[in-house]
Amino acid sequence: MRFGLRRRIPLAWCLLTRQPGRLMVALAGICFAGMLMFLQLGFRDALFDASIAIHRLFNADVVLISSTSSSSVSMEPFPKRRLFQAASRPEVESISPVRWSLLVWKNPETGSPRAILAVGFDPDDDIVNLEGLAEQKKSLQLDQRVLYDRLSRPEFGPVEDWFKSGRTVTAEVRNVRVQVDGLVELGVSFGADGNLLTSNRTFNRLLGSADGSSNSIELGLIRLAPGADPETVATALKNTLPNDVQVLTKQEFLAFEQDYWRSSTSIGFIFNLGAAMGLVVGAVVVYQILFSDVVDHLPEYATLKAMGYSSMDLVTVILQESLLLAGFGYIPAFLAGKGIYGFTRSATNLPIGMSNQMAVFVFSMIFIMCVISGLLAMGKLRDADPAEIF
Amino acid sequence: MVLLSGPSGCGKTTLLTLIGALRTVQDGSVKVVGEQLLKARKSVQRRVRRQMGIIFQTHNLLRCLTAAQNVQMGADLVPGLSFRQRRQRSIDLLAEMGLKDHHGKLPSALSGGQCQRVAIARALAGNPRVLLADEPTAALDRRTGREVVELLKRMVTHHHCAVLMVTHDPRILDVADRLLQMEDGRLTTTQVIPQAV
Repeated sequence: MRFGLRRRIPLAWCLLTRQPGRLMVALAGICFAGMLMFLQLGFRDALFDASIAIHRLFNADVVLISSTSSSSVSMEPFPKRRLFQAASRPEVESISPVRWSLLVWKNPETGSPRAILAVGFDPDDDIVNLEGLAEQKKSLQLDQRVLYDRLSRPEFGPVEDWFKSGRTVTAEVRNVRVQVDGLVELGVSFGADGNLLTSNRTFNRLLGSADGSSNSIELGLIRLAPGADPETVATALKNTLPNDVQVLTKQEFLAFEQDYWRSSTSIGFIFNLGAAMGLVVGAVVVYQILFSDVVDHLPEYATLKAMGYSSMDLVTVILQESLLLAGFGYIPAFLAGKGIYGFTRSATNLPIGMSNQMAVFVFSMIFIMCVISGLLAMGKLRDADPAEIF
Repeated sequence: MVLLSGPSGCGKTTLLTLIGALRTVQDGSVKVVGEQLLKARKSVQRRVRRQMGIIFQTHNLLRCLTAAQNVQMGADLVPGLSFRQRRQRSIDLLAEMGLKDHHGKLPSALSGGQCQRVAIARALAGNPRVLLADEPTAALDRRTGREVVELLKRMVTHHHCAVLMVTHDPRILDVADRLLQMEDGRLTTTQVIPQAV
Protein backbone atom coordinates (compact mmCIF):
# COMPACT_ATOMS: atom_id res chain seq x y z
CA MET A 1 0.00 0.00 0.00
CA ARG A 2 1.47 3.25 -1.15
CA PHE A 3 -0.17 5.43 1.45
CA GLY A 4 -0.15 2.94 4.27
CA LEU A 5 2.48 4.52 6.45
CA ARG A 6 1.68 8.17 6.00
CA ARG A 7 0.09 10.11 8.76
CA ARG A 8 -3.52 10.68 7.92
CA ILE A 9 -6.71 11.97 9.43
CA PRO A 10 -7.42 9.60 12.36
CA LEU A 11 -10.79 8.61 10.94
CA ALA A 12 -11.38 5.66 13.27
CA TRP A 13 -10.68 7.81 16.30
CA CYS A 14 -13.01 10.57 15.07
CA LEU A 15 -15.76 8.07 14.24
CA LEU A 16 -15.70 6.79 17.79
CA THR A 17 -15.17 9.96 19.79
CA ARG A 18 -17.65 12.13 17.91
CA GLN A 19 -20.45 9.66 18.67
CA PRO A 20 -20.09 9.53 22.43
CA GLY A 21 -23.40 7.78 23.07
CA ARG A 22 -22.51 4.90 20.85
CA LEU A 23 -18.97 4.77 22.21
CA MET A 24 -20.32 4.50 25.75
CA VAL A 25 -22.58 1.59 24.83
CA ALA A 26 -19.70 -0.20 23.14
CA LEU A 27 -17.38 0.39 26.07
CA ALA A 28 -20.04 -0.73 28.53
CA GLY A 29 -20.45 -3.95 26.54
CA ILE A 30 -16.73 -4.64 26.46
CA CYS A 31 -16.34 -3.70 30.09
CA PHE A 32 -19.15 -6.07 31.01
CA ALA A 33 -17.57 -8.89 29.02
CA GLY A 34 -14.20 -8.24 30.63
CA MET A 35 -15.67 -8.07 34.11
CA LEU A 36 -17.52 -11.32 33.63
CA MET A 37 -14.35 -13.01 32.43
CA PHE A 38 -12.31 -11.65 35.32
CA LEU A 39 -15.01 -12.77 37.71
CA GLN A 40 -15.46 -16.29 36.37
CA LEU A 41 -11.83 -17.06 35.65
CA GLY A 42 -10.78 -15.43 38.90
CA PHE A 43 -13.13 -17.63 40.88
CA ARG A 44 -12.02 -20.69 38.97
CA ASP A 45 -8.34 -20.02 39.65
CA ALA A 46 -8.99 -19.00 43.23
CA LEU A 47 -10.93 -22.16 43.95
CA PHE A 48 -8.26 -24.34 42.39
CA ASP A 49 -5.66 -22.39 44.24
CA ALA A 50 -7.50 -22.64 47.55
CA SER A 51 -7.81 -26.39 47.17
CA ILE A 52 -4.09 -26.72 47.73
CA ALA A 53 -3.62 -23.95 50.29
CA ILE A 54 -2.63 -26.39 53.02
CA HIS A 55 -0.86 -28.77 50.68
CA ARG A 56 1.46 -26.00 49.66
CA LEU A 57 2.44 -25.27 53.23
CA PHE A 58 3.60 -28.79 53.98
CA ASN A 59 7.25 -29.01 54.74
CA ALA A 60 8.02 -32.11 52.66
CA ASP A 61 9.92 -33.29 49.59
CA VAL A 62 8.14 -36.58 49.10
CA VAL A 63 4.64 -37.50 50.25
CA LEU A 64 3.02 -40.88 50.90
CA ILE A 65 -0.74 -41.29 50.61
CA SER A 66 -2.97 -44.32 50.46
CA SER A 67 -3.44 -45.70 46.97
CA THR A 68 -7.21 -45.41 47.50
CA SER A 69 -7.08 -41.70 48.37
CA SER A 70 -8.43 -39.56 45.56
CA SER A 71 -8.47 -36.08 47.08
CA SER A 72 -8.26 -34.11 50.30
CA VAL A 73 -11.93 -34.84 51.01
CA SER A 74 -11.49 -38.57 50.73
CA MET A 75 -8.18 -39.35 52.36
CA GLU A 76 -7.93 -43.01 53.27
CA PRO A 77 -5.70 -44.35 56.03
CA PHE A 78 -2.70 -46.57 55.35
CA PRO A 79 -0.31 -48.40 57.70
CA LYS A 80 2.08 -46.10 59.50
CA ARG A 81 4.73 -48.78 58.95
CA ARG A 82 5.08 -47.73 55.29
CA LEU A 83 6.45 -44.37 56.42
CA PHE A 84 9.04 -46.06 58.66
CA GLN A 85 9.96 -48.35 55.79
CA ALA A 86 10.56 -45.29 53.63
CA ALA A 87 12.65 -43.74 56.39
CA SER A 88 15.18 -46.54 56.08
CA ARG A 89 16.48 -45.07 52.85
CA PRO A 90 19.73 -43.16 53.35
CA GLU A 91 18.50 -40.00 51.54
CA VAL A 92 15.65 -39.55 53.99
CA GLU A 93 16.45 -37.00 56.67
CA SER A 94 13.24 -37.01 58.66
CA ILE A 95 9.62 -38.13 58.50
CA SER A 96 6.32 -36.91 59.93
CA PRO A 97 3.14 -38.95 60.20
CA VAL A 98 0.05 -36.83 59.59
CA ARG A 99 -3.62 -37.57 60.18
CA TRP A 100 -6.16 -35.94 57.95
CA SER A 101 -9.92 -36.20 57.91
CA LEU A 102 -13.16 -34.27 57.79
CA LEU A 103 -14.72 -34.40 61.23
CA VAL A 104 -18.00 -33.05 62.55
CA TRP A 105 -17.56 -29.87 64.54
CA LYS A 106 -20.41 -28.46 66.59
CA ASN A 107 -20.81 -24.71 66.53
CA PRO A 108 -20.05 -23.72 70.16
CA GLU A 109 -22.72 -21.03 70.03
CA THR A 110 -25.62 -22.77 68.29
CA GLY A 111 -24.62 -26.41 68.47
CA SER A 112 -25.21 -26.97 64.75
CA PRO A 113 -22.87 -29.59 63.26
CA ARG A 114 -20.64 -29.03 60.25
CA ALA A 115 -17.70 -30.91 58.76
CA ILE A 116 -14.32 -29.33 59.42
CA LEU A 117 -10.98 -30.50 58.10
CA ALA A 118 -8.88 -31.75 60.98
CA VAL A 119 -5.16 -32.27 60.55
CA GLY A 120 -3.24 -34.14 63.23
CA PHE A 121 0.54 -34.08 63.53
CA ASP A 122 3.29 -34.51 66.07
CA PRO A 123 3.76 -31.10 67.77
CA ASP A 124 7.52 -31.72 67.84
CA ASP A 125 7.66 -31.82 64.04
CA ASP A 126 7.77 -28.83 61.75
CA ILE A 127 5.23 -30.09 59.25
CA VAL A 128 3.71 -26.82 58.07
CA ASN A 129 5.44 -23.57 57.30
CA LEU A 130 2.86 -21.38 58.93
CA GLU A 131 3.36 -18.06 60.62
CA GLY A 132 2.84 -18.19 64.37
CA LEU A 133 2.59 -21.95 64.44
CA ALA A 134 5.98 -22.59 66.07
CA GLU A 135 4.97 -20.81 69.30
CA GLN A 136 1.39 -22.02 69.41
CA LYS A 137 1.90 -25.68 68.63
CA LYS A 138 3.59 -26.28 72.00
CA SER A 139 0.18 -26.07 73.59
CA LEU A 140 -0.89 -29.05 71.48
CA GLN A 141 1.31 -31.21 73.68
CA LEU A 142 -1.66 -31.17 76.00
CA ASP A 143 -4.59 -33.39 75.14
CA GLN A 144 -7.83 -32.13 73.68
CA ARG A 145 -6.27 -28.91 72.42
CA VAL A 146 -6.68 -27.59 68.87
CA LEU A 147 -5.54 -24.62 66.81
CA TYR A 148 -8.42 -23.09 64.88
CA ASP A 149 -8.17 -21.58 61.38
CA ARG A 150 -9.47 -18.05 61.81
CA LEU A 151 -10.33 -17.96 58.06
CA SER A 152 -12.88 -20.75 58.58
CA ARG A 153 -16.46 -19.93 57.59
CA PRO A 154 -18.51 -18.08 60.23
CA GLU A 155 -20.93 -21.02 60.37
CA PHE A 156 -18.45 -22.78 62.65
CA GLY A 157 -19.11 -20.19 65.30
CA PRO A 158 -17.60 -16.95 66.60
CA VAL A 159 -14.43 -18.76 67.62
CA GLU A 160 -12.03 -16.00 66.66
CA ASP A 161 -13.99 -13.26 68.44
CA TRP A 162 -14.41 -15.30 71.57
CA PHE A 163 -10.80 -16.35 71.59
CA LYS A 164 -9.54 -12.82 71.10
CA SER A 165 -11.78 -11.48 73.83
CA GLY A 166 -10.04 -13.86 76.21
CA ARG A 167 -12.80 -16.43 76.58
CA THR A 168 -11.92 -20.09 76.78
CA VAL A 169 -13.42 -21.54 73.64
CA THR A 170 -14.47 -25.17 73.74
CA ALA A 171 -16.35 -27.06 71.07
CA GLU A 172 -17.36 -30.63 70.41
CA VAL A 173 -15.65 -32.55 67.64
CA ARG A 174 -17.17 -35.95 67.10
CA ASN A 175 -18.75 -35.55 70.51
CA VAL A 176 -15.37 -35.07 72.18
CA ARG A 177 -14.85 -31.74 73.87
CA VAL A 178 -11.78 -29.84 72.66
CA GLN A 179 -10.36 -26.47 73.61
CA VAL A 180 -9.16 -23.89 71.11
CA ASP A 181 -5.68 -22.87 72.17
CA GLY A 182 -4.65 -20.64 69.31
CA LEU A 183 -5.51 -19.21 65.92
CA VAL A 184 -3.80 -19.94 62.62
CA GLU A 185 -4.43 -18.70 59.11
CA LEU A 186 -4.93 -21.36 56.42
CA GLY A 187 -7.99 -20.50 54.30
CA VAL A 188 -11.05 -22.31 53.01
CA SER A 189 -11.29 -24.43 49.86
CA PHE A 190 -13.80 -26.54 47.92
CA GLY A 191 -13.44 -29.43 50.26
CA ALA A 192 -13.14 -27.71 53.58
CA ASP A 193 -15.10 -24.78 54.95
CA GLY A 194 -12.79 -24.65 57.92
CA ASN A 195 -9.63 -26.16 59.31
CA LEU A 196 -8.22 -27.13 62.64
CA LEU A 197 -4.80 -28.39 63.62
CA THR A 198 -4.21 -30.74 66.48
CA SER A 199 -1.78 -33.36 67.74
CA ASN A 200 -1.86 -36.92 66.46
CA ARG A 201 -2.79 -38.09 69.89
CA THR A 202 -5.81 -35.82 70.19
CA PHE A 203 -6.80 -36.71 66.64
CA ASN A 204 -6.77 -40.41 67.45
CA ARG A 205 -8.83 -39.75 70.56
CA LEU A 206 -11.38 -37.93 68.44
CA LEU A 207 -11.57 -41.06 66.32
CA GLY A 208 -12.24 -43.16 69.38
CA SER A 209 -8.84 -44.46 70.36
CA ALA A 210 -8.74 -44.47 74.16
CA ASP A 211 -4.97 -44.06 74.53
CA GLY A 212 -4.54 -41.81 71.52
CA SER A 213 -2.46 -44.25 69.52
CA SER A 214 -3.10 -45.59 66.06
CA ASN A 215 -1.26 -47.59 63.45
CA SER A 216 -2.87 -45.68 60.60
CA ILE A 217 -2.06 -42.38 59.04
CA GLU A 218 -3.46 -40.55 56.00
CA LEU A 219 -0.35 -38.67 55.03
CA GLY A 220 3.33 -39.42 55.38
CA LEU A 221 5.66 -36.47 54.94
CA ILE A 222 9.27 -37.24 54.02
CA ARG A 223 12.04 -34.67 54.09
CA LEU A 224 15.24 -35.47 52.22
CA ALA A 225 18.83 -34.71 53.04
CA PRO A 226 20.22 -31.67 51.21
CA GLY A 227 21.24 -32.55 47.67
CA ALA A 228 18.95 -35.57 47.28
CA ASP A 229 16.67 -35.50 44.25
CA PRO A 230 12.99 -35.98 45.20
CA GLU A 231 12.17 -37.50 41.79
CA THR A 232 14.80 -40.20 42.14
CA VAL A 233 13.86 -41.01 45.71
CA ALA A 234 10.16 -41.12 44.85
CA THR A 235 10.83 -43.56 42.01
CA ALA A 236 12.96 -45.73 44.27
CA LEU A 237 10.26 -45.74 46.95
CA LYS A 238 7.60 -46.64 44.41
CA ASN A 239 9.61 -49.70 43.49
CA THR A 240 10.24 -50.85 47.05
CA LEU A 241 7.03 -50.02 48.93
CA PRO A 242 3.92 -52.25 48.64
CA ASN A 243 1.26 -50.89 46.36
CA ASP A 244 -1.15 -49.88 49.13
CA VAL A 245 0.54 -46.45 49.05
CA GLN A 246 1.18 -43.86 46.37
CA VAL A 247 4.49 -42.03 46.40
CA LEU A 248 4.36 -38.45 45.19
CA THR A 249 6.82 -35.60 45.11
CA LYS A 250 5.46 -32.42 46.63
CA GLN A 251 4.74 -31.00 43.16
CA GLU A 252 2.89 -34.17 42.21
CA PHE A 253 0.96 -33.98 45.47
CA LEU A 254 -0.25 -30.44 44.60
CA ALA A 255 -1.10 -31.50 41.07
CA PHE A 256 -2.90 -34.60 42.40
CA GLU A 257 -5.27 -32.44 44.42
CA GLN A 258 -5.86 -29.86 41.70
CA ASP A 259 -6.39 -32.50 39.04
CA TYR A 260 -9.12 -34.01 41.15
CA TRP A 261 -11.08 -30.75 41.25
CA ARG A 262 -10.31 -30.03 37.64
CA SER A 263 -11.24 -33.37 36.14
CA SER A 264 -13.57 -35.08 38.60
CA THR A 265 -15.86 -32.09 39.07
CA SER A 266 -17.60 -29.74 36.67
CA ILE A 267 -16.24 -26.66 38.45
CA GLY A 268 -13.76 -25.79 35.72
CA PHE A 269 -16.35 -26.29 33.02
CA ILE A 270 -18.94 -24.12 34.73
CA PHE A 271 -16.60 -21.20 35.21
CA ASN A 272 -15.18 -21.48 31.70
CA LEU A 273 -18.72 -21.48 30.36
CA GLY A 274 -19.48 -18.35 32.36
CA ALA A 275 -16.42 -16.63 30.94
CA ALA A 276 -17.37 -17.74 27.41
CA MET A 277 -20.83 -16.25 27.90
CA GLY A 278 -19.24 -12.93 28.76
CA LEU A 279 -17.15 -13.14 25.63
CA VAL A 280 -20.19 -13.86 23.45
CA VAL A 281 -22.24 -11.01 24.94
CA GLY A 282 -19.33 -8.63 24.46
CA ALA A 283 -18.79 -9.77 20.88
CA VAL A 284 -22.47 -9.23 20.05
CA VAL A 285 -22.44 -5.71 21.49
CA VAL A 286 -19.25 -4.72 19.68
CA TYR A 287 -20.50 -6.26 16.43
CA GLN A 288 -23.81 -4.42 16.75
CA ILE A 289 -22.03 -1.12 17.34
CA LEU A 290 -19.59 -1.53 14.47
CA PHE A 291 -22.29 -2.85 12.16
CA SER A 292 -24.62 0.08 12.73
CA ASP A 293 -21.62 2.36 12.40
CA VAL A 294 -20.96 0.96 8.93
CA VAL A 295 -24.64 1.09 7.94
CA ASP A 296 -25.02 4.69 9.11
CA HIS A 297 -21.98 5.82 7.19
CA LEU A 298 -22.55 3.78 4.05
CA PRO A 299 -22.93 6.79 1.67
CA GLU A 300 -19.89 8.39 3.22
CA TYR A 301 -17.81 5.26 2.86
CA ALA A 302 -19.02 4.97 -0.73
CA THR A 303 -17.90 8.57 -1.27
CA LEU A 304 -14.46 7.71 0.05
CA LYS A 305 -14.31 4.84 -2.41
CA ALA A 306 -15.38 7.18 -5.21
CA MET A 307 -12.54 9.51 -4.21
CA GLY A 308 -10.06 6.70 -4.72
CA TYR A 309 -9.76 5.07 -1.30
CA SER A 310 -9.45 1.31 -1.54
CA SER A 311 -11.59 -1.23 0.26
CA MET A 312 -8.50 -2.06 2.29
CA ASP A 313 -8.40 1.52 3.58
CA LEU A 314 -11.97 1.20 4.85
CA VAL A 315 -11.33 -2.24 6.33
CA THR A 316 -8.39 -0.71 8.16
CA VAL A 317 -10.65 1.96 9.61
CA ILE A 318 -13.08 -0.63 10.98
CA LEU A 319 -10.21 -2.67 12.39
CA GLN A 320 -8.72 0.39 14.04
CA GLU A 321 -12.11 1.13 15.55
CA SER A 322 -12.35 -2.35 17.01
CA LEU A 323 -8.82 -2.16 18.41
CA LEU A 324 -9.47 1.22 19.99
CA LEU A 325 -12.63 -0.20 21.52
CA ALA A 326 -10.69 -3.17 22.87
CA GLY A 327 -8.11 -0.89 24.45
CA PHE A 328 -10.54 1.54 26.00
CA GLY A 329 -13.00 -1.13 27.08
CA TYR A 330 -10.28 -3.09 28.82
CA ILE A 331 -9.23 -0.33 31.20
CA PRO A 332 -12.54 -0.09 33.11
CA ALA A 333 -12.90 -3.88 32.94
CA PHE A 334 -9.47 -4.25 34.54
CA LEU A 335 -10.29 -1.80 37.31
CA ALA A 336 -13.68 -3.41 37.91
CA GLY A 337 -11.99 -6.81 38.00
CA LYS A 338 -9.55 -5.60 40.63
CA GLY A 339 -12.44 -4.20 42.64
CA ILE A 340 -14.40 -7.45 42.44
CA TYR A 341 -11.34 -9.42 43.51
CA GLY A 342 -10.76 -7.19 46.49
CA PHE A 343 -14.40 -7.43 47.51
CA THR A 344 -14.47 -11.20 47.06
CA ARG A 345 -11.28 -11.61 49.04
CA SER A 346 -12.72 -9.80 52.01
CA ALA A 347 -16.10 -11.52 51.75
CA THR A 348 -15.04 -15.13 51.22
CA ASN A 349 -11.40 -15.46 52.29
CA LEU A 350 -10.69 -17.03 48.89
CA PRO A 351 -7.16 -16.36 47.65
CA ILE A 352 -8.37 -14.37 44.64
CA GLY A 353 -6.29 -11.69 42.98
CA MET A 354 -5.30 -10.07 39.71
CA SER A 355 -2.36 -12.03 38.36
CA ASN A 356 -0.41 -10.73 35.37
CA GLN A 357 -1.31 -13.90 33.57
CA MET A 358 -5.01 -13.25 34.11
CA ALA A 359 -4.70 -9.59 33.07
CA VAL A 360 -2.95 -10.57 29.85
CA PHE A 361 -5.33 -13.44 29.13
CA VAL A 362 -8.48 -11.35 29.51
CA PHE A 363 -6.94 -8.59 27.41
CA SER A 364 -6.14 -11.00 24.59
CA MET A 365 -9.67 -12.41 24.81
CA ILE A 366 -11.18 -8.92 24.52
CA PHE A 367 -8.76 -8.12 21.72
CA ILE A 368 -9.76 -11.25 19.79
CA MET A 369 -13.42 -10.58 20.51
CA CYS A 370 -13.19 -7.06 19.06
CA VAL A 371 -11.24 -8.16 16.00
CA ILE A 372 -13.76 -10.89 15.23
CA SER A 373 -16.66 -8.47 15.68
CA GLY A 374 -14.87 -6.01 13.42
CA LEU A 375 -14.30 -8.66 10.76
CA LEU A 376 -17.98 -9.63 10.85
CA ALA A 377 -19.11 -6.01 10.58
CA MET A 378 -16.86 -5.52 7.56
CA GLY A 379 -19.06 -7.76 5.43
CA LYS A 380 -21.46 -4.83 5.25
CA LEU A 381 -18.75 -2.63 3.73
CA ARG A 382 -19.20 -4.41 0.42
CA ASP A 383 -22.52 -2.61 0.16
CA ALA A 384 -20.71 0.70 -0.04
CA ASP A 385 -20.97 0.97 -3.83
CA PRO A 386 -19.80 4.31 -5.18
CA ALA A 387 -22.08 3.96 -8.21
CA GLU A 388 -25.15 3.87 -5.99
CA ILE A 389 -24.74 7.20 -4.23
CA PHE A 390 -25.93 9.43 -7.06
CA MET B 1 -16.69 23.73 -18.08
CA VAL B 2 -19.12 21.37 -19.72
CA LEU B 3 -22.75 21.11 -18.70
CA LEU B 4 -24.74 18.02 -19.50
CA SER B 5 -28.53 18.19 -19.34
CA GLY B 6 -31.46 16.20 -20.54
CA PRO B 7 -34.67 14.59 -19.31
CA SER B 8 -34.45 12.38 -16.28
CA GLY B 9 -33.67 8.76 -17.00
CA CYS B 10 -31.76 9.52 -20.18
CA GLY B 11 -28.48 8.23 -18.75
CA LYS B 12 -26.65 11.37 -17.64
CA THR B 13 -25.71 10.02 -14.27
CA THR B 14 -24.77 6.66 -15.70
CA LEU B 15 -22.40 8.39 -18.08
CA LEU B 16 -20.93 10.28 -15.14
CA THR B 17 -20.36 7.13 -13.11
CA LEU B 18 -18.73 5.47 -16.11
CA ILE B 19 -16.35 8.38 -16.61
CA GLY B 20 -15.63 8.49 -12.90
CA ALA B 21 -14.68 4.77 -12.95
CA LEU B 22 -17.36 4.11 -10.38
CA ARG B 23 -18.97 1.45 -12.54
CA THR B 24 -17.28 -1.29 -14.48
CA VAL B 25 -17.48 -0.75 -18.22
CA GLN B 26 -18.89 -3.98 -19.73
CA ASP B 27 -18.79 -3.21 -23.41
CA GLY B 28 -17.54 -0.54 -25.80
CA SER B 29 -14.79 1.80 -24.79
CA VAL B 30 -14.31 4.55 -22.23
CA LYS B 31 -11.02 6.37 -22.18
CA VAL B 32 -10.42 8.84 -19.38
CA VAL B 33 -7.17 10.59 -18.47
CA GLY B 34 -5.31 8.20 -20.74
CA GLU B 35 -6.68 5.00 -19.17
CA GLN B 36 -8.93 2.47 -20.87
CA LEU B 37 -11.75 1.64 -18.47
CA LEU B 38 -13.23 -1.28 -20.41
CA LYS B 39 -13.17 -4.17 -17.90
CA ALA B 40 -10.56 -2.26 -15.96
CA ARG B 41 -9.00 -3.76 -12.86
CA LYS B 42 -9.73 -2.30 -9.44
CA SER B 43 -6.28 -0.74 -9.21
CA VAL B 44 -6.81 1.05 -12.54
CA GLN B 45 -10.21 2.22 -11.39
CA ARG B 46 -8.66 3.57 -8.22
CA ARG B 47 -5.93 5.36 -10.17
CA VAL B 48 -8.55 7.04 -12.35
CA ARG B 49 -10.73 7.90 -9.35
CA ARG B 50 -7.81 9.64 -7.75
CA GLN B 51 -7.48 11.93 -10.75
CA MET B 52 -11.13 12.86 -10.56
CA GLY B 53 -12.92 15.06 -8.13
CA ILE B 54 -16.52 14.21 -7.45
CA ILE B 55 -19.34 16.37 -6.14
CA PHE B 56 -22.71 14.85 -5.35
CA GLN B 57 -26.25 16.18 -5.01
CA THR B 58 -25.87 15.87 -1.29
CA HIS B 59 -22.51 16.83 0.13
CA ASN B 60 -21.74 13.36 1.63
CA LEU B 61 -19.26 14.82 4.05
CA LEU B 62 -18.12 12.59 6.93
CA ARG B 63 -20.23 13.78 9.83
CA CYS B 64 -17.58 12.98 12.38
CA LEU B 65 -14.86 15.08 10.74
CA THR B 66 -14.46 18.85 10.76
CA ALA B 67 -14.61 20.80 7.49
CA ALA B 68 -10.81 20.90 7.27
CA GLN B 69 -10.50 17.19 8.06
CA ASN B 70 -13.06 16.37 5.39
CA VAL B 71 -11.09 18.35 2.82
CA GLN B 72 -7.95 16.63 3.99
CA MET B 73 -9.50 13.25 3.29
CA GLY B 74 -9.17 14.40 -0.33
CA ALA B 75 -5.71 15.88 0.14
CA ASP B 76 -4.50 12.69 1.86
CA LEU B 77 -4.64 10.95 -1.49
CA VAL B 78 -2.00 13.25 -2.97
CA PRO B 79 1.39 11.58 -2.83
CA GLY B 80 4.47 13.37 -1.66
CA LEU B 81 3.03 15.93 0.72
CA SER B 82 3.65 15.88 4.47
CA PHE B 83 0.72 15.80 6.87
CA ARG B 84 1.33 19.45 7.72
CA GLN B 85 1.41 20.46 4.05
CA ARG B 86 -1.80 18.56 3.34
CA ARG B 87 -3.44 20.18 6.31
CA GLN B 88 -2.32 23.62 5.21
CA ARG B 89 -3.55 22.93 1.69
CA SER B 90 -6.97 21.98 3.08
CA ILE B 91 -7.23 25.14 5.13
CA ASP B 92 -6.13 27.25 2.13
CA LEU B 93 -8.73 25.62 -0.10
CA LEU B 94 -11.45 26.32 2.43
CA ALA B 95 -10.31 29.93 2.60
CA GLU B 96 -10.55 30.15 -1.18
CA MET B 97 -14.07 28.77 -0.91
CA GLY B 98 -14.90 31.60 1.50
CA LEU B 99 -14.95 29.34 4.57
CA LYS B 100 -11.91 30.83 6.27
CA ASP B 101 -13.42 30.79 9.74
CA HIS B 102 -15.29 27.55 9.47
CA HIS B 103 -12.56 24.95 9.05
CA GLY B 104 -12.87 23.64 12.60
CA LYS B 105 -16.64 23.11 12.40
CA LEU B 106 -18.47 19.84 11.97
CA PRO B 107 -20.82 19.53 8.96
CA SER B 108 -23.79 19.66 11.32
CA ALA B 109 -22.81 23.19 12.29
CA LEU B 110 -22.66 24.38 8.65
CA SER B 111 -25.45 25.37 6.27
CA GLY B 112 -26.26 23.35 3.14
CA GLY B 113 -24.45 25.81 0.90
CA GLN B 114 -21.40 25.82 3.16
CA CYS B 115 -21.33 22.02 3.19
CA GLN B 116 -21.48 21.92 -0.58
CA ARG B 117 -18.58 24.35 -0.70
CA VAL B 118 -16.62 22.09 1.65
CA ALA B 119 -17.45 19.20 -0.69
CA ILE B 120 -16.06 21.19 -3.64
CA ALA B 121 -12.91 21.97 -1.68
CA ARG B 122 -12.58 18.26 -0.90
CA ALA B 123 -13.01 17.34 -4.55
CA LEU B 124 -10.30 19.85 -5.53
CA ALA B 125 -7.95 18.84 -2.73
CA GLY B 126 -6.80 15.75 -4.60
CA ASN B 127 -5.47 17.84 -7.53
CA PRO B 128 -8.00 16.37 -9.96
CA ARG B 129 -7.71 16.76 -13.71
CA VAL B 130 -11.46 16.47 -14.12
CA LEU B 131 -14.21 17.40 -11.73
CA LEU B 132 -17.45 15.47 -12.03
CA ALA B 133 -20.52 17.10 -10.54
CA ASP B 134 -23.96 15.55 -10.33
CA GLU B 135 -26.59 18.24 -9.86
CA PRO B 136 -24.57 20.01 -7.17
CA THR B 137 -27.25 22.68 -6.80
CA ALA B 138 -30.26 20.40 -6.57
CA ALA B 139 -30.43 20.48 -2.80
CA LEU B 140 -29.80 24.22 -2.52
CA ASP B 141 -32.03 27.26 -2.95
CA ARG B 142 -31.67 29.43 -6.03
CA ARG B 143 -29.38 32.08 -4.61
CA THR B 144 -27.08 29.66 -2.78
CA GLY B 145 -26.99 27.37 -5.80
CA ARG B 146 -25.93 30.26 -7.97
CA GLU B 147 -23.20 31.27 -5.54
CA VAL B 148 -21.87 27.73 -5.31
CA VAL B 149 -21.73 27.34 -9.09
CA GLU B 150 -19.98 30.66 -9.59
CA LEU B 151 -17.49 29.80 -6.90
CA LEU B 152 -16.95 26.44 -8.56
CA LYS B 153 -16.32 28.13 -11.88
CA ARG B 154 -13.77 30.49 -10.34
CA MET B 155 -12.02 27.69 -8.52
CA VAL B 156 -11.66 25.35 -11.49
CA THR B 157 -10.35 28.17 -13.65
CA HIS B 158 -7.80 28.94 -10.99
CA HIS B 159 -6.85 25.30 -10.47
CA HIS B 160 -6.86 24.40 -14.20
CA CYS B 161 -9.38 21.65 -13.89
CA ALA B 162 -12.07 20.58 -16.36
CA VAL B 163 -15.63 20.19 -15.12
CA LEU B 164 -18.39 17.92 -16.33
CA MET B 165 -21.58 18.88 -14.60
CA VAL B 166 -24.89 17.14 -14.89
CA THR B 167 -27.72 19.53 -14.21
CA HIS B 168 -31.44 20.05 -14.60
CA ASP B 169 -31.17 23.58 -13.42
CA PRO B 170 -31.78 26.01 -16.32
CA ARG B 171 -30.70 28.96 -14.16
CA ILE B 172 -27.07 27.97 -14.13
CA LEU B 173 -26.63 26.99 -17.78
CA ASP B 174 -24.95 30.34 -18.53
CA VAL B 175 -21.75 29.38 -16.67
CA ALA B 176 -21.01 26.68 -19.24
CA ASP B 177 -18.36 26.86 -21.91
CA ARG B 178 -20.08 24.03 -23.66
CA LEU B 179 -23.59 22.59 -23.36
CA LEU B 180 -24.45 19.00 -24.10
CA GLN B 181 -27.98 17.66 -24.47
CA MET B 182 -28.67 14.02 -23.90
CA GLU B 183 -31.68 11.94 -24.79
CA ASP B 184 -32.20 8.20 -24.49
CA GLY B 185 -28.55 7.56 -23.85
CA ARG B 186 -27.28 9.62 -26.79
CA LEU B 187 -25.85 13.07 -27.02
CA THR B 188 -28.14 15.07 -29.27
CA THR B 189 -26.86 18.62 -29.41
CA THR B 190 -23.64 20.22 -28.41
CA GLN B 191 -23.42 23.93 -28.16
CA VAL B 192 -20.31 25.97 -27.65
CA ILE B 193 -20.88 29.16 -25.78
CA PRO B 194 -18.42 31.76 -27.01
CA GLN B 195 -17.69 33.44 -23.74
CA ALA B 196 -18.13 32.61 -20.13
CA VAL B 197 -19.99 34.71 -17.62
